[in-house]
Amino acid sequence: MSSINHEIDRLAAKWAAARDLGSLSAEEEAAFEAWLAADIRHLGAYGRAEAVLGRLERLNGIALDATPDGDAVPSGWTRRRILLAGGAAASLVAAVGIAEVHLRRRQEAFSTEIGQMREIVLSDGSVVTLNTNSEISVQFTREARNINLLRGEALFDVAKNKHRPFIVSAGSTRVRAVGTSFMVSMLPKKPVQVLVREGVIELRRADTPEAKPVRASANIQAIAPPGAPIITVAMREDKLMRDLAWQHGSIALDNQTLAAAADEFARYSEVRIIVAPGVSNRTVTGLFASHDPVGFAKAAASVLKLQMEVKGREVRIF
Amino acid sequence: MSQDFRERGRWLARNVLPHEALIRAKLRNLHLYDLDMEDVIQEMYAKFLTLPSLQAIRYPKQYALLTARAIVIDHVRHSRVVSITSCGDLELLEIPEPDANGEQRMEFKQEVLAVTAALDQLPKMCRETLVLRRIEGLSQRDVARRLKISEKTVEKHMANGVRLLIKLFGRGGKPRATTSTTKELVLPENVIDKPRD
Repeated sequence: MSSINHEIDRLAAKWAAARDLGSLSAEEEAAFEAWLAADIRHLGAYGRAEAVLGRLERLNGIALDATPDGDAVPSGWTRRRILLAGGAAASLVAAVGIAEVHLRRRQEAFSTEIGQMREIVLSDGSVVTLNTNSEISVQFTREARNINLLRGEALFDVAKNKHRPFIVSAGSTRVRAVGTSFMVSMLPKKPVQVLVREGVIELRRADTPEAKPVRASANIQAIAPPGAPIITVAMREDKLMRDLAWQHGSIALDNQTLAAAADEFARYSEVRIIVAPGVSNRTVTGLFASHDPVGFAKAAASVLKLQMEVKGREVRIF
Repeated sequence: MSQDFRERGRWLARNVLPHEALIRAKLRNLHLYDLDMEDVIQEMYAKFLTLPSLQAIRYPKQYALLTARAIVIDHVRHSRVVSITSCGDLELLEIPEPDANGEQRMEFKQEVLAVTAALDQLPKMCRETLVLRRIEGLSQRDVARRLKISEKTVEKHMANGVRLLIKLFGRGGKPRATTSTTKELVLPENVIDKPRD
């Protein structure tokens, strides 16, 4: 290996450490940006240094401070076990010492604007895809991976860890999973909905803790109307795919009214589709780009033999 | 940008870093002549940072191999000094079929062992600093207090620890890796595209 690369790695490690600790001044941050831009190898080395930090972070939660002996953690990945398993144990214990269990509560928030979509890799390897105009907060503890859906819609691909359930809260609805793929939506004027793509989840309501949790498996949609029991509905796979079309930037309509389509497009763009009352019940089917309400209006008007016009930030269909 | 680095770093931690040793082994089989493997590896990581989105990558290990391969081929094409034993060798980087059952995502247990094994080889203070900061998630000040060192020293140990882990992870985290660095240069008679002046 050339000494140049050694030097690049050394600097990358130094920048990554300093940035992780947040200890860079504005000038240093500028120096960092300049260094990054100077050579493609700098960028790569820095990415790898970040990956090293990320790889350590993944152990977070399984390797927290020594578990008291009486702890009921079921044979899982307590620090103690790791320590016994690998040689790192002794030193890890030493590092943490006899100090009291320190459960840190790191909280992070992620959001998207109208028309944006975003994929987030969480520290445990789970992946969250946020649809347009959505927001989540993430809080991982030793016992659980907690996500709060504050608004909008998110698809969760959960990394398996049966000792640390993955719990999504949407209003008073709680969705619990250990390793699966599901979508949760909390949209204005609609009940919270959960769509299971893979595996099994368990739903309950925080406001009725005594009620038995409802289980839902793949291709099941669960709806949690406020103040009423949770309903589950089997879904055909093609319908499920349609409801997840947003992942690919699409809106899939299957015989939906123009009024419903307009509402759907309104989630993704500031441009409003206004449908004249007389035609709002006409229905359309098709796959459309979610960021292009005008294109949709043109297509719909042409198929349904209607008129359309664009005026400022409005598209009228009549 | 910094948020994005963090996310990408996590993605790389999960999908690429655990395979870096394998990628190196494959590159080594190519008998690269005068092409620094470190350059290729760094460029490969850079590629993952500059892609507009990682979302479409379904098989990251394969994708990383493909990327490394493309970088090598690019060097071969554009450089006067780089050559490889024979074009056929590039087939060595052929992409295996994606593993049937997500085997490519290293079992988490194995992953934990790989990371702890690497941590084990760090100097004591480096290791303890990294564990407290990255695994336990303590603040710089708390780490300093716990280890009875200054905050500046925390930063130093961390940088040093990351530097060492870059190396350890790169060769698969094994203590005395037999993967000697770049000794396996091509035998002259195999070189089809000799360096010109």
